[in-house]
This record gives sequence, C-alpha cells and structure tokens, in this order.
Amino acid sequence: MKKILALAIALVMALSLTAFAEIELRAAWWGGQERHNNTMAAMDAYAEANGIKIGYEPNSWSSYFETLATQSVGKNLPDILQMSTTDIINYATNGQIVDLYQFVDEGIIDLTYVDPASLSGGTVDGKLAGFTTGTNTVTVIYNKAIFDQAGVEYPADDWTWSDYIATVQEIYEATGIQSDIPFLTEARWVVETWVRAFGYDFFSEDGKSLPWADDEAVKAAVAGAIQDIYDGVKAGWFIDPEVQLAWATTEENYIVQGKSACAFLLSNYYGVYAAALDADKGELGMAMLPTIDDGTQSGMYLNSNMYWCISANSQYPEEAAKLLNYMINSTDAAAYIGTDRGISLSSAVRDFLANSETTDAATTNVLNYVSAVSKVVSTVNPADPANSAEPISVLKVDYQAVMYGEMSAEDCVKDFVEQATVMLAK
Amino acid sequence: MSDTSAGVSRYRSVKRRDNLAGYFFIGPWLFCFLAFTLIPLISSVVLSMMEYNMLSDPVFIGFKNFVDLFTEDQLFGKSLGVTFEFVFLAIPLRLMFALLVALILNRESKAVPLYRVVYYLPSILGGSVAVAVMWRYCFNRDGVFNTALRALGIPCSISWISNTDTAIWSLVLMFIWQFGSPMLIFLAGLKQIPKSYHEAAECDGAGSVKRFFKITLPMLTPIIFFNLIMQMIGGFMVFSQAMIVTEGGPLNRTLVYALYLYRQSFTYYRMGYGSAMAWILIAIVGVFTALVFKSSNYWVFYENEIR
Repeated sequence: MKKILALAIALVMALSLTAFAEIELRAAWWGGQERHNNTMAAMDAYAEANGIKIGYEPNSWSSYFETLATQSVGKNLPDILQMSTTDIINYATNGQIVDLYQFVDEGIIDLTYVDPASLSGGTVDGKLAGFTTGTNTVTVIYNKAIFDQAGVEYPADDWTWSDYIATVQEIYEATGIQSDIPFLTEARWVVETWVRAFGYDFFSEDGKSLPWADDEAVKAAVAGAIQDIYDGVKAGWFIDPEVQLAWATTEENYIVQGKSACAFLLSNYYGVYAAALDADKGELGMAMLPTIDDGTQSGMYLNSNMYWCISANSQYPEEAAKLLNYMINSTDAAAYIGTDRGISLSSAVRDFLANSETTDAATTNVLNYVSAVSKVVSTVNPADPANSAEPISVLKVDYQAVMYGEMSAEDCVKDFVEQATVMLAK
Repeated sequence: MSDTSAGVSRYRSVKRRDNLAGYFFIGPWLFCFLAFTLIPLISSVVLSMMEYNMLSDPVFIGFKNFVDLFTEDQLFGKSLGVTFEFVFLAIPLRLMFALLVALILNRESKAVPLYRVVYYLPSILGGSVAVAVMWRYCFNRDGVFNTALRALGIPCSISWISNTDTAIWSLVLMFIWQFGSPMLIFLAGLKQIPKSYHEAAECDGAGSVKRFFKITLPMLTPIIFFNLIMQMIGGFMVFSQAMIVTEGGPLNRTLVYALYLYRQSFTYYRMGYGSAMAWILIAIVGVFTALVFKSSNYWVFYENEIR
C-alpha cells in the first residue's frame, strides 16, 4: 500500500514537472491596493516579455511577516520578497536570504547608474542582503496657505529647533490653527535627528548599544526638545495627543483636512498627502527637519525605504535576480511604480521620472527634496540592528506618555536609554 | 467448541470493521486535532524552554524564558494587569447582558426566531477584522458613538480608543456586544424551567421580580456556571479587538496578554519566549477555572440533588 502510494505521488510529481517546465517565480510584498496593482502590472509586463510565470503573494503589513516567518520554517519562502529595515537583519543573519553581490559580480544586477555608496542601507555583515528599493527620509510638510494667513515665512531647510517651536506658536496665536505633534506614532524618527545633530548614530555599529547613552549633554538636549513639545501641547499649539493618536487613515489627518499648519512625515508619504489635501485648502511644501539648537551638524538622514531580497530556498535565484534588476533599473518598471517604494537608487530611473510627462508635481517635489537631502548626508543608514524593534517601541510609548502628561521628559529619555541598553545587549 | 471460536472470530471481525468505520468517521476531526492542537501543544512545551526565532534552529536554554519573564520583563506584569482588568469588567457585563436579552426573548412570539438570529449576528461577525475596523471608526472623536451622544444632548469630544481611561472600555463594549452564544445557551436554559413552578408561585402571590430571584435564577445556576467558565476562558484569550481597534495603545493601556504574546513571538522573533508566556496563561486560566469549580458547590443548584 505504502509503495503504491509513494509511486503514485512520485508519478504525479514527475508529471507536474513536465507539465510546468516553464519557470515560475513567486514574489511577495506588503502594501495597499495601489501598490498591489502597480507591482503586479510591472511584473506582468516583465513576465510576458521574458516568457516566465510570476505568482503573486501580496499581503498587508500587519500579516506579512507572520506569513513570511511561517514560510521560512517550511523552507518555502517566495523567490523574491520585499523586506523592511527592521526585519532584514533577522533574515540575513539566519541565512534565509542570499548575498546579492554574487549577482552583481555575474553582471545580472546592473550598477551602472547606481552609486555603490548608496547600497550601504542593505548591507549586513559586509554582504548585500537586500537591494534598496528606494531611499526615504524625513520631512516637515507645511500648509502654505496657513503660513500665508498667519503672515509667517515658509521654513528654510536650515531652520533650528527653536525656530520651529516659535513658528508653531506664532501660527497658533495668529490663526488658532494647531500643528501635529512631531512623529507621535514613531518617536524614533525625530529623536534620531536630534542625536545625529551631535554627530552620533542612533544605534552603534555592532547594534549592541546606543552610542550616545553616556553623553549627558545629548540626553539633556533630547529631553529638552521633548519638553518643548509637551509645553506646546499644554499651551494648545499642538494637537491634542488623544486626537492625533486616533487617526488611522490618511483622510483623518488634520494636515490633509487643512486643519494643521505643519506635520512631520516620511518623505514617501508626501505624494499621498499632497493629493489628499483639497486645492482650496492650501498646498503642501516640504522642509528639512529643524536642527536642534546646540547641534553641530544637520540631523537629517537617509534610510532605505525597503528592500528587494532573494530567498535562500529559491530554485531559480538567477531568474529572481533578473526580475530584481528589472524592478530597480528598468524605466519600464518605474513607469508603473513611480516613487511608491521610495526614490530609486538608479540615477537613470530618477531622471526618467523627473522628466516624464506623466510625473505629477508631487513626485517632482519629492525627487527634488530627496536629492537636496542627499547633498547634506551622503550615506544611507544601515538596517536596524537585531533586537531593536522592542526598544523602539519603548521609546514610542514613553514619548506618548510625556505628551499625555503621564511622564516627565527626563524620565522618558532615562527610561528609554536604560531599557534599550539591556535589550540591545541581549 | 469450533462453533464458539468461529463465533468469536466473526464477532472480532465485525468489531474490527465497526472500529474502522468509526475511525473513518472521526478521521477528519482526529487529523485536525493532531495537526492543529496536539502537536502544536507539545511543540510549544518544548519551545518554551528554547530560544527560537523561527529563522534558525532552536537552542535549548532551560527555564531562562520563565525566569526572564518574572525578573526582567516590565510589560509582562503590565499586560497581565490589563487582561485581568478586562476579564473582570467584560465577563460579568456580557453575562448579565446575555441573560437580560434571553429573558426578553423567552416568550411565545413568531418574531423570536428572527430576533435570535439578529442578536446572534455580532458573535459571528464580531471576530472579523472588518468589524474591528468599523468599531475603530465608531469610537473616534467624530465617530458614530459621539454623534449619538451629541444627538441625545450629551456633548462628548472624547476620542474613546485613544483616551487612557476609556480605551479599555471600548474593547469591553465590543466584547459585550458579541453576547450571542451565552444568550442562546441562557435561552435554552430558560426553556427548561418547568412552567408549573412559576404558575404555583404566581398562585401564591409572588411577583415577577420575586419569581426571577427565587425560581428563575436558582434554576439557571448550572447554565450560569457553564457560561461563566466558557466566557472566562475566552476573555483571558482576548486578542483581535486589542490588536486591531487599539493596537495595545494608548500607552499600553490595552496591551492584553495575548497581544503581547503575539508581539514577542512574531514582531520580536521570540517564539520560545512566546510559548513560555502561553503556558503561564494556561496555568492562570486553569487556576481560575478550578476556583470557579470549587466555588460552584456553594452557589450552583442541581435539581437532582434534592433528596
């Protein structure tokens, strides 16, 4: 009985192999419907031109990594997969994704238009674990109409933290319009700019500590800036944290409703926000994050938005690498995808998008903004270290606790540094 | 002699055939039980003593996960506290509400089956993501809930899900709303109470309140007992509401135990740690169930105990 069964299964397997001799790749990513559509359209075009099949496994952010982890246990990861800056380290150090330099050496992945320094975002232990889909940075978006109404000058890229706080106050006093609390849902993004302004990286190179943990001046400056924000919350310049925290969709954000003067944002969201704001309620400008007052340099940074990776269990790694090359280098793919995954590392793609007739004003703004930022900072931040997700979450909750008036700014910094030191060292 | 042995062997073969048929019929259940309950159960015992990130092989570390939980983890105690708060608020309220609706529906009317379906719907839909998302909108500052309050002349600008005092209540309310299954069980229990008891009491001049407390409630205690156990176990495992409606926030006020377990396992890649947390939860649920069982001697009334 067993023998017959085994034979039957073997036969079916053999038959299915001959029936589907055609190469079939599996691709997985997370995102919204828009990204699902444009990614599938781009990949469909590639599949048709190259006579392969691509199976799509689109997912939502909330269940993507759950699915991926389960697939990794079964050695069944998709051939090509989108990866986040917080998770790539785990997949790379555990051998689930392959070093992409081998395909660069083989000439499959073309770096003609890519600055090799910008690949740093996807390197783990000297290997190219992921190819950055696009760079990303932080920005302050502001409603020009509200600034005009208040008679306040538009922010310049070299403004300071106290300029920023004064601006928020001035606008509120002139018009009664509040501003968003900076990065209420992910404090790390703003705290990082403060720390970097003093010349520190947020995480140490080995990822085991915070390099600024013992610098009292930096910690005091961070606590001071958080205190400034809380003072503004109490005075009413900033939006009530309770209200801001409840926003779940783009449409709920006050900046999109014309009810907030300025907000901190990841640059890749600019397009969506600019499109969502009705033209009669103003127009969104972009400025760099203000430099903290005693800072010695700009705190701005470039991040990889996300990566394309190739799984170690892929049967057709070279085919997957060809597809990856298409996704990052081809202007055909860029025509579908635009800047949805960040600003491409390829200068050819950037030029194509900047000059394309179909490119809208918002995309042009983002392209210009990111290239301005890349003149201030040259390298792309490395991926977040292992065990960093938990301390980042501690910082987020502590920062919110300050805004809710349940924790002092000093305690927030102290608690985060203490907990992060223990968690990262594990 | 030969007759009996033939009889025995025929009996055996019939019995074997019957057994086979039996196994065949419970096969699907048996398979699911093994694949999705027993094997995961056993592997979680093993994993609770390992460091396992799912991406590489597990490493045995003894009881370190348990030690860390009790000595280092600040959110462990916090999430347990939130869960207890939730269980003690939500379970009694849900049971009371279910009983109330069951009492209302316990009468002769052609519309009752329709109402039963309508009231049961939230229990079926309630666990779904879409409903949780809808719930999130309802409790926003400009949501349906506040609009309704304003219509009633109560001005309210609280953003329920992000206010530190009310966030847990938005979850409790959602939990109460899914009262369908205890309600149906109560309804079945109410139908079991002989009408003659009520009639006799009525003849003796007992009012409806008195009859409820002297007849309905005592007769219903076995059902209350059953519902309490089942709902309590469900309450300790509450997850999807907190995950989607509040994401554990604000300030971890709704970080229920199961959500924290999920985060440790899937977000921080600590499957072993998560397994250890799961076993602590099982122990806690076990203790509470045992306590309720013990207490049942004092308040649960079984008719067949009357001598």
